[in-house]
Amino acid sequence: MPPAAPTPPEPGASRDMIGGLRRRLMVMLLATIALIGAVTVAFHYQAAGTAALQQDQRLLRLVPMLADSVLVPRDAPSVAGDLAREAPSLTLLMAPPIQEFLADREGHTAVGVFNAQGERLFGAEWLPVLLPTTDAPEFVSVVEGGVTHRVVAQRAATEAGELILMLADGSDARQHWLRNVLLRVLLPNLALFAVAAGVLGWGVTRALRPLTDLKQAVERRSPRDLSPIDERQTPAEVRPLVDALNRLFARVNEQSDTQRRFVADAAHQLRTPLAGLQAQVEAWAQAARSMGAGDLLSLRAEQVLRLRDATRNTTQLANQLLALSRADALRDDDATRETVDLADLCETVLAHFLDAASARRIDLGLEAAPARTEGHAWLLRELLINLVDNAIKYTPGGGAVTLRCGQGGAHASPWIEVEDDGPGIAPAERERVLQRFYRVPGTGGSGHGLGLAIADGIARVHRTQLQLDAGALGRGLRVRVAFDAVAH
Amino acid sequence: MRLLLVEDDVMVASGIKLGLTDAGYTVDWVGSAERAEQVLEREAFDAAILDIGLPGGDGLALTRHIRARGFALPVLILTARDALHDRVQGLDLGADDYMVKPYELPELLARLRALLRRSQAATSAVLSFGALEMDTAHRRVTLAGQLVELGPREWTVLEYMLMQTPKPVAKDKLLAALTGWDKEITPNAIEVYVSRLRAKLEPAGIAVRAIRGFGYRLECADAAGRADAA
Repeated sequence: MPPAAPTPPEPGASRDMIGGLRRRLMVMLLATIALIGAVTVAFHYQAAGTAALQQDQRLLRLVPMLADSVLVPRDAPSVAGDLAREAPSLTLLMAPPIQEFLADREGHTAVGVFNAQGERLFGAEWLPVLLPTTDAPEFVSVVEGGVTHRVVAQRAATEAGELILMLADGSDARQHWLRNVLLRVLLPNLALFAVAAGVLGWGVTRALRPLTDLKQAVERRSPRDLSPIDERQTPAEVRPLVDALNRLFARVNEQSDTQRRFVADAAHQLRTPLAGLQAQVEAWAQAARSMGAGDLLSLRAEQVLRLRDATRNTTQLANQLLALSRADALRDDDATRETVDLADLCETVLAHFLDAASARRIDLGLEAAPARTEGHAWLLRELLINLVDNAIKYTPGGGAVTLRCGQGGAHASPWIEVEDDGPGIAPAERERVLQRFYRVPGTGGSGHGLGLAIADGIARVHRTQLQLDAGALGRGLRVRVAFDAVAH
Repeated sequence: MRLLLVEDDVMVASGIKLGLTDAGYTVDWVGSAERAEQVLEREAFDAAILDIGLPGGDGLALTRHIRARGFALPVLILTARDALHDRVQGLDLGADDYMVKPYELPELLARLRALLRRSQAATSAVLSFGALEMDTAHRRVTLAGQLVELGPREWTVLEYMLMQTPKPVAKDKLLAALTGWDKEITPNAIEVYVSRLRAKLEPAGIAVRAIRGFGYRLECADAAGRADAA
């Protein structure tokens, strides 16, 4: 049998995980085997008791044979009393079972014959003097020469009258059996245990190798390498894990791709208004360089206003980018949701846009019915602000923009809606306007193509999406967001 | 009106100071919270504009200090940190309003006017808006110095709108404010009072704008009001 394979030294934190798994498996398996071994030994030990009883009975069975073996010579007077007095005149002719008994365990067995008074007529010196008062046998254990002897004494009627017969067996069954148990049960069990530990250690390590290999494969990867792990090279048991890992890799891949694209787009977008600002300021700096410290630089009013517009534009873009990144960050976060009163929200946003609407002579109105949903209040506000901002920006002067919210009933789905009577969006474009930085060709104004993308992003955080339709009478644009019904 | 501006960024501070001075305010500018505390002990201001990120103690701590010292002046907080959004929104620190940087000057001016109007109303019982002045202690309304006669319900409607401006007033809130006068008042009745108010205020350039589906808002047609709407 091969010895337990030593665990190869493995770097990394997951070593503990796999080491722990291995240790747990080993402990459980070896504990089971040890338990089985212990039970076997216990049974064998129990059997030793039975064996001792059997030995006593065997000795007892030999007593009548020994009685038969006591003979009185023909020429001597056959009186019991005489025998007692003329002791050595007794003859023992051992019956075959007794001979066998004595021969079988040479040196460990003995027989003795005593008269009723306890005088030894025959037998070894060390045999104790036992005088059973009844016919019942008496058992004792006597230590002689370092060996425990089981001794039986019984009164028995013989040819020479009533004598006390004694048989001693030094092959103590209990010791004998203990030795047996030690040699035949405990030792093989221990050997088996050692072998099993080795085999199991090797087997468990082998069985866990796919996990170890997988761990090393993942560890060896660079943070940028998110290609899927080859499923065909992994055993069936680990495949669900590999599948899960591959799915995670794919998601992270997709996310980081989106992120990279977004950052690139954002930087590009920011450069446009910044370029305008810089051009203006550079021109003034050029003029200022040829002037004294106290000189006044004259600016045309419209230049300053343009500058202000460019700055506001940049600020708005920065705010929108921030809103997008925050919406992205909250995509899978349900913990911070709260109950949002949509009617309140509509009123707040309406108040926010009153000045902007009146500056463009747009009739901004509200049709709010009580409605509540679960969500992120500030994100929903951002969503509505982007929708209304969009509507006001693209609706010509004199038009109307209406904010609506409602709920079909206590358990029905709540919704918000912004409708305008502006140019609308052609059905073919409705999908694309939700993409970041996409602007409908030919659109004027100062947009960045982010408003609807942000609104849609936020809607998706709330597990819904924007529905774009034509407004009433087929004119303008109506954007609706229907939320999941809130469970009460 | 004298304002205290606490802002450590020179570009931002000079911009705000220029804008506020242009709008007719006297502005004292300090660059740190420590300086602000010293100045506040010596001088009286009508309002304070505080930046959140300041050297030597931030604007939130300064706000707490102002309230702890018992100064009653309104405080407008400026912040570039959106993360503070929710915390500041609670305004539990004793600030009266907040704005996220960068901001547009007209909005800053409008918020400041609203703050000053509210603090003024709390102390002097006079509400003013453009050419309109409402003396709640003497129950007198003047338009450019000319006394205007108002019925008791018209008075309630105008007072309610003046307290809220520049925010719009919901029609049902007006309704609730008026139920002290009439047990059974209908939304149509409010329209009657509003149209009477319009007739009296419009000659002085003050409009009561109807907001479809919501209510009304007081708007000013003169230069100061324009800034509100810019």
